[in-house]
Amino acid sequence: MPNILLTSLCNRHCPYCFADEKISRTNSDTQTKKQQFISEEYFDRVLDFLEDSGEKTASFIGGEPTLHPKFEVIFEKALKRNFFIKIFSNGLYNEKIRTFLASIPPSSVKIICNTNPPQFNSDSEWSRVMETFKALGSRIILASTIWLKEQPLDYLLNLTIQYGLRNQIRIGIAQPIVGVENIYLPIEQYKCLAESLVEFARKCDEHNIKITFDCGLPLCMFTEEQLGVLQMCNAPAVFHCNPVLDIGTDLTVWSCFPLSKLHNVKLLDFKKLKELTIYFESRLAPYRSFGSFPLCTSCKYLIRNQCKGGCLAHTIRSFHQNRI
Amino acid sequence: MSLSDDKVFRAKKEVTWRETEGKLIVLNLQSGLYYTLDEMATVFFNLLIQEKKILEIIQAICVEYKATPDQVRSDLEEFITTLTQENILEPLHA
Repeated sequence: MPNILLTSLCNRHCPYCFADEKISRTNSDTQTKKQQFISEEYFDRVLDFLEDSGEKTASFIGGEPTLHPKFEVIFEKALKRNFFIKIFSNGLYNEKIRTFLASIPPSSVKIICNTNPPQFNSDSEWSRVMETFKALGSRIILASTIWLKEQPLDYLLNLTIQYGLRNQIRIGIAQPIVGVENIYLPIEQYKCLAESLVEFARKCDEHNIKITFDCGLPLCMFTEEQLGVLQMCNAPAVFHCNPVLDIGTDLTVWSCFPLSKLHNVKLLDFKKLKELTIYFESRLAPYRSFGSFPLCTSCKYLIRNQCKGGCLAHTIRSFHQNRI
Repeated sequence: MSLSDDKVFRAKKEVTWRETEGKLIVLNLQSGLYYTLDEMATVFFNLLIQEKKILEIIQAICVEYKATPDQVRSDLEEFITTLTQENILEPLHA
């Protein structure tokens, strides 16, 4: 399912940001990066494209998508055309946005709210995000991106219970961006992380809260026993890595943020999403045999396509990069 | 293929590579084909992509491996011929 970048502006400075290649944080950034906000005309074209491709969900990303000056107008356009709306957000809203989203029924919107551990928020940021949770309740799914070897997770469970958020928590691992230096969790540390993820899944299961994992996990980071526990705790790990498709404010399309410097194309040069997916899959296919770890090439799980060998950005970065 | 001493080769633009566990994998992104090079081939490849002249490569290998120039030249020419045919290498000054 593709994501629509409503704006390249963000009001957070997450250390691991893997959208860094496409995001503007300062005025000088905005001069060099692509246009800051998607226009209404371009947004309509994206909705046309999604409709023609049979998509039922419009997924908004950024930057922080709610910073688009016409966010409500954009949102209503998608709603009017019967799209279910998914927003990837940080929850740092003003009262106007909060009130607007609170007026949308939870059956029409899902807000995946990436929330860093409390110590990585200022007091005012934290209290704004708490206001958002209080106002939007079950519209919110908490999400966290892990960039530290021993990153706290329990706060996600506590907040989900405290504010009656949707009973699902989404966990991702900070991935590298090909051709850009960012902070990410080295793959050598994944196995250390596995036990804390399993332990967290056990705790969430006691409260009937489901864990879902983002793309880019390799199967071998877990033991067979850990995989069994995750399955039983309704937290099945998935080991895929496919083109997500992100559509930029100028209608440039890239495969996903970690690969956002590679093979960019224009949306309107294609007729359907399927064509775009095939385009990116074919461009990235030569790397698929290798995986992130040296042993991936002879791994039966990679060969049988049960695992994609982790995030492709790790694989590509392991190759010589002089032409990116 | 008989190569003059000052000939220089480079990897084609659609070619990338990585070294893991002592082996060099050379990947052609256009064809999707990849090649795993053995130790000597890896030494040749690493010197070639530094855009060294044929004579410099031969001299470097003779010193490092105590081989005769004729033997190194013969192996190097065979290696370059194969990788050129496989669209991995190209002459720098065609």
